[in-house]
Amino acid sequence: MDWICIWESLKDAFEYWDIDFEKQAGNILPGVEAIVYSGTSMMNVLLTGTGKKVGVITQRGDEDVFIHERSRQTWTGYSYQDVLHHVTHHHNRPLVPRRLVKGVTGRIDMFSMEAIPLYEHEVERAVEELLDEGVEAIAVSLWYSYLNPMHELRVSEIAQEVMQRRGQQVPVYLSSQLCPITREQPRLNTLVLHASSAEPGREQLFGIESKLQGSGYRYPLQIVLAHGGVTNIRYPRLYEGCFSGPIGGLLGVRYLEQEMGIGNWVCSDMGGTSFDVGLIMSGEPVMLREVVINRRLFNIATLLMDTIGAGTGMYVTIDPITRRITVGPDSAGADPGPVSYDMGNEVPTVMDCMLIMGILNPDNYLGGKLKLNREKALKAIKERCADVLGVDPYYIAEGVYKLINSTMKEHIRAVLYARGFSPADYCLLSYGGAGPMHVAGYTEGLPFKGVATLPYAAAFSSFGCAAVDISHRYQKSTTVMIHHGADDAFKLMMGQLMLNPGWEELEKLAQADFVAEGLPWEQANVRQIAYVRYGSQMDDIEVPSPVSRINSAEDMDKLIAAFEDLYVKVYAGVAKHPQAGYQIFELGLTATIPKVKPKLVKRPLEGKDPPQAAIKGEREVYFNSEWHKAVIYDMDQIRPGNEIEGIAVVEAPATTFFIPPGRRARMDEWLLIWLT
Amino acid sequence: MSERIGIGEGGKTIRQMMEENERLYLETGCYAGITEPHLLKEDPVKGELFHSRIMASLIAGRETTRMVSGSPFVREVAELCLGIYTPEGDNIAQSTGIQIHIKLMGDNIQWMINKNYEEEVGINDGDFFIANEPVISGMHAADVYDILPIFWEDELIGWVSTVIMEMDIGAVSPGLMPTANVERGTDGLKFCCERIGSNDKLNRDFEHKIEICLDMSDIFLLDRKGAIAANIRVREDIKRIIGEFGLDYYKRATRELIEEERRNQIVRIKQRMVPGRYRGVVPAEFPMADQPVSWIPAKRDTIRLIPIQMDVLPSAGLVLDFEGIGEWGWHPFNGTPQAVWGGVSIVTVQTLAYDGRGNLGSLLPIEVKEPPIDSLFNPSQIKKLATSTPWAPLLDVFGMWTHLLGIAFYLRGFREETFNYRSSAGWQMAGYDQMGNKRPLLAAGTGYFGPGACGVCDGVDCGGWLATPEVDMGSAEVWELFVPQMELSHRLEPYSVGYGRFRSGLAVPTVVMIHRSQQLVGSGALGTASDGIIPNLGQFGGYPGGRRNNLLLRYDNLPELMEKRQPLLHEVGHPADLKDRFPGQVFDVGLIPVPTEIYEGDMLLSVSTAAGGLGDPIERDPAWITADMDNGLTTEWQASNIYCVKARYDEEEKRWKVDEVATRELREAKRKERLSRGVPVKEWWQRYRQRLMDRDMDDKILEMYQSSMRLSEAFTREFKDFWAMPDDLNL
Repeated sequence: MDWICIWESLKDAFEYWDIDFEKQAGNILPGVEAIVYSGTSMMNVLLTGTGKKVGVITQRGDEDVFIHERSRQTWTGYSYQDVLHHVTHHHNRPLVPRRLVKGVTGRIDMFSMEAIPLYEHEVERAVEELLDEGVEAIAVSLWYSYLNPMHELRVSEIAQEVMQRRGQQVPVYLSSQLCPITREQPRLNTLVLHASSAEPGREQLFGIESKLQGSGYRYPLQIVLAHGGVTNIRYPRLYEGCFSGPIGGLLGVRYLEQEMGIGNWVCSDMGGTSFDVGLIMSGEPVMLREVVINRRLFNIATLLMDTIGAGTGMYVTIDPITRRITVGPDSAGADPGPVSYDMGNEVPTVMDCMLIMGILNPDNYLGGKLKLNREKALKAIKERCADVLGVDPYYIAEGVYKLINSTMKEHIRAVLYARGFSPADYCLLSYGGAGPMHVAGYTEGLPFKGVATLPYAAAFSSFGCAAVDISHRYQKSTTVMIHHGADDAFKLMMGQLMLNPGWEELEKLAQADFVAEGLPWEQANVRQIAYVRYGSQMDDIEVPSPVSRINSAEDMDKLIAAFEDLYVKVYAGVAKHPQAGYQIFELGLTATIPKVKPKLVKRPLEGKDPPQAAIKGEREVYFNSEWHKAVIYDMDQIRPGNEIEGIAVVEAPATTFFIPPGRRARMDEWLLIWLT
Repeated sequence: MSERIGIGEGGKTIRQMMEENERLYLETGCYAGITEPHLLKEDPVKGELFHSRIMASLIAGRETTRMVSGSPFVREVAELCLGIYTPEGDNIAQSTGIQIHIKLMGDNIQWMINKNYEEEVGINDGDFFIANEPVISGMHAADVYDILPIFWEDELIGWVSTVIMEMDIGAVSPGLMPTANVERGTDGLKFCCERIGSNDKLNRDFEHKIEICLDMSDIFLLDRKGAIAANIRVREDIKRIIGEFGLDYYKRATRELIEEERRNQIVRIKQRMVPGRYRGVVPAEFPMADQPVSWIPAKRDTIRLIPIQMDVLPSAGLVLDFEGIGEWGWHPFNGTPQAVWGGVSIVTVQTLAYDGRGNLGSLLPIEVKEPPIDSLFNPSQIKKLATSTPWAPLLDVFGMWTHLLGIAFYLRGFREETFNYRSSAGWQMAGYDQMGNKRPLLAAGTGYFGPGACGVCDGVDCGGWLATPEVDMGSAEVWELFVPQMELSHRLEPYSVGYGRFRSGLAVPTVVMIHRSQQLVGSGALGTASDGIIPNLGQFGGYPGGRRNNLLLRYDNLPELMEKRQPLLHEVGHPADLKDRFPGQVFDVGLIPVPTEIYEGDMLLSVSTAAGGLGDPIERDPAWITADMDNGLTTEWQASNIYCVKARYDEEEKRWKVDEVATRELREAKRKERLSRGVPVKEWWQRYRQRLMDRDMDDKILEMYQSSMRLSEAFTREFKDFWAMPDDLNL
């Protein structure tokens, strides 16, 4: 995520209208209403362990937290089969090394009272030791701090004192401020994500905003959040934006679905570092409040999207002991990038393999703006991999293609089968810069209803972000307990003491954010939310409140009735249990403003044969251990109704669609290209 | 059209259908007489789609239960499972979760069929049945089954059943697995396949009963409602599936799924195991002498021998035999033959039938010889005997079975499939919670077990529990909402380990401080009965895991310690020197603590055990040992004395480094010492034979052998033959 990429993307986009953005930026940007960032860079930093060096202060006795994890993290995200098969279970690489995790004595209890005083000398020692280790940030997560932050606040004060004494300064992040949600391990994971990956990302976002504003853009830069909303990059809980890239695609599929009427979709997004899979069921994305990313739990409200590290930037190496071909988990990123970028990296990547196989065109990368050095890529694969094993470099390249496709295929299988779903009920859409290049491989053998990609696959996540309303979402803890048979006065009191002030506070926050972003608050569609459950239940339901305030007992009854209506729809009437009373421990609020969205046009179908102008020529492509003569097509010239037989390569400026031998592609009237 | 007599297919009674099914199986050796599962073969994609629809329904149903439930067992650690059954009560498919119950849920249904519920009780669309009596079927009374018939028009075409482990069953002593009950009436509330609802409504009288009888009635009722909601959802899904595929297809394909799985299981056994006889033995202790029981004869400590023998037949059948098992006793640890099948199911799905197609067919190639009448696992003559907590010996028995399977896999070359389980757990409590409600409570918190080493790598730290493949310890912040305790440690315990070239996973002990309770009684631990005499689960030279310790710790002056900011107990360390380290009193409360009053500020410790290591510990790579030392997972003492690795701490680099020369010397010396200790087998045999002849053993051990010999001539014969004992000599 750097400024050059974004600027280049804008230039590319305006080229379609024959506008030289470089020259016209000063005229164009002052008229732009909103620029929304959506990307996966922050998450990639976490997945590849390249973020800031974070030290953790946790509860004394909890220092092994990243070694033993939640036991669930040894199998979560697995397919049904591997969940059952114990010997496949294993721990993740610790998010933070054990020596950088320090425990301090002290305890807040479930009543939010101090049960054990904070041992400040232990805090002081912990901070000293972490600073000695050279940490770049300190993350503090103590149990029940979301109920009472006093110990975390004191830890922060002590840390500041120690740093002042030492003449050092690193940021200190508190879970009570950034992620005040129950369950200690997902909360700590989320805090580490924020400290190690999101905050460094914010610095880059400010850089982008500054560049844009320097060219006349008048508003703050915005970012898509994991729950599908859009907000200002100054938003304190920026970790919610770490998954905005894949979410954008999901929102785009939802918008496509609304136009086309295909209810069930598997959305697959492959980029340089990660591969994301999400579901649209009956037209709606699935919302989670505790999310699993790369086999770890995070407390982030998000649209369902399962991610693994698998992308074209991943390094290809030979394990020196086992002599196994290893793909990833580390990635070359955009800088220095693959060997063929010629920017200093000498370790081959997946993309280098695609290049020497002839699937990628060295003269068409980013529309020809970046010339790829094929010879250098071939030399690196030969010397670092093929010669080590005594094999042909093309054997290595194709092996890597198969390995990464297999990894992604198993991931799709896990996402579907872990929920008991069958591919036969779903269509799959492939997007992201690298999706079309690999889609034939990663869907092979999975009996989807249909497999499709689009000409604008590389920009599809951006399309999705453009297709969403401006929306902010806010959450807050509260304690509402209405016992069975409570009288009207009690219901009113609970509403006026515990619900109304909470909603008012959230509205004030929303209004301030809207004003800061230059949005008309008076046009905002504000929706109050309560998370309601029966007494003794462990889980609640998100209930859009039918009233904006509780001004009478009847208003509370209406809220409860809305809960029970929803509850019965989800769980059946027999599961109602009103005799246990009702509880609300969390409030929410969404504020939305409609925004202009792209219009999809249904086009007339033309003949099967692509026009002559679409054929760019022929190229040798290595596949199934032999060289084939593949026809090369220009994506921009393919018309609705055209069909292309494999082996073929369809080139667009930002993506390459590979059709293997025996497969066929057909563009439909919505410009979707179906692979059969 | 003939007049309908029964509710089954073509007007048959379901008992007739069940009997016919059994006859066909006996005649053909194939489930339901299906010698050719043609439907699944002719159109495999359709078959795949059909199966995935059923699975999707079960998994979604399970999520429904989790969301509705009030229990942290269900929401946090998913102690539940759903299954779908044929009209005859045979399992077709099941959700993830505690898959112990594949057969047990069906056994409840078959009990109803055998007891002629169809005519004498009535089985109608919209009925809810409930069961938790292990004598009928089940592991223990805490596992409560909710069973729902599925009708298509007026024909019963199947059943759906959900099982949830409850936190409160109203037993005489605290907890969900009580330990001070010896007669059935003290096990807690029992339901013998009773109807608790009709027309999709729960009976109000049932709700009244629960509200009156159970301290945690809300949670129990919410669990029922969650289970029933899931059952209804699955029932409606099945009707939709039938609507799509047709009734004939449904009936045939569900049975073909069972037959296909039976065949798959035979192939797996052939592929992965070497035929032969594999044997292990588990000694199970039942310390009852100090338990406050009213039936005085129960107040005695006993040990029972449980031999387990697995024959892998050349035909790829498996036969499990417990010949030589000791007698039942006046304690709650008696099992039933059905409970034994629970163990068979859960091990099978985690080691052989894990490909997502597991059902009754996975169990058909396995024969479990019925344990002898009056044995610990078949106390059929004593109608009033407690059977609430058979997990204690069964966890060990099936941990041993994983060990035997691991050997069989290893011998065939499937080294990566080799591992084993061992389990134990902590305290249970009863009394007033922090909200002032009296209820049973569990102090196990988020402590968890270490499974054994794998054949190619270390075991997963804190990541294995025989009872469920979905091991999870939940969240401390959630557990503490339910129990008046504060967890003070989640540190992995180095001394829980099973040493080896590959070590076991380490366990996280339970270390909790009692907090904000007016009055509490702590008592019996749930879990294993073998911590006094540890069964040898070490493989190929690996050691068994550590011993469990249950300790009650009472600070002399906790407020003063906190005032002076003195250290509290956050690490267990070696239990042997805990008394020297702890500023207060340390009570070793034994394997199964007797009910003990506990107070605010008291600390309950339970060091869970890990399973066995694999391979000789002195062949473990020294670099792995120093890596463990860097993370505090291996102590310097263990490195030096067990692994024979000399390491020193580099203050500058802040990590342990191997002294390679000293390590080589240490390992060589250990090998020499071993050789000097060794004696010829003959010599060893003679020495131990003499001890036997002299009855030179603890009285409880002697009685253990006597008990096995009373039940089994074959065991007696083999024992005497091995030790060359005269025929007329009895122990």
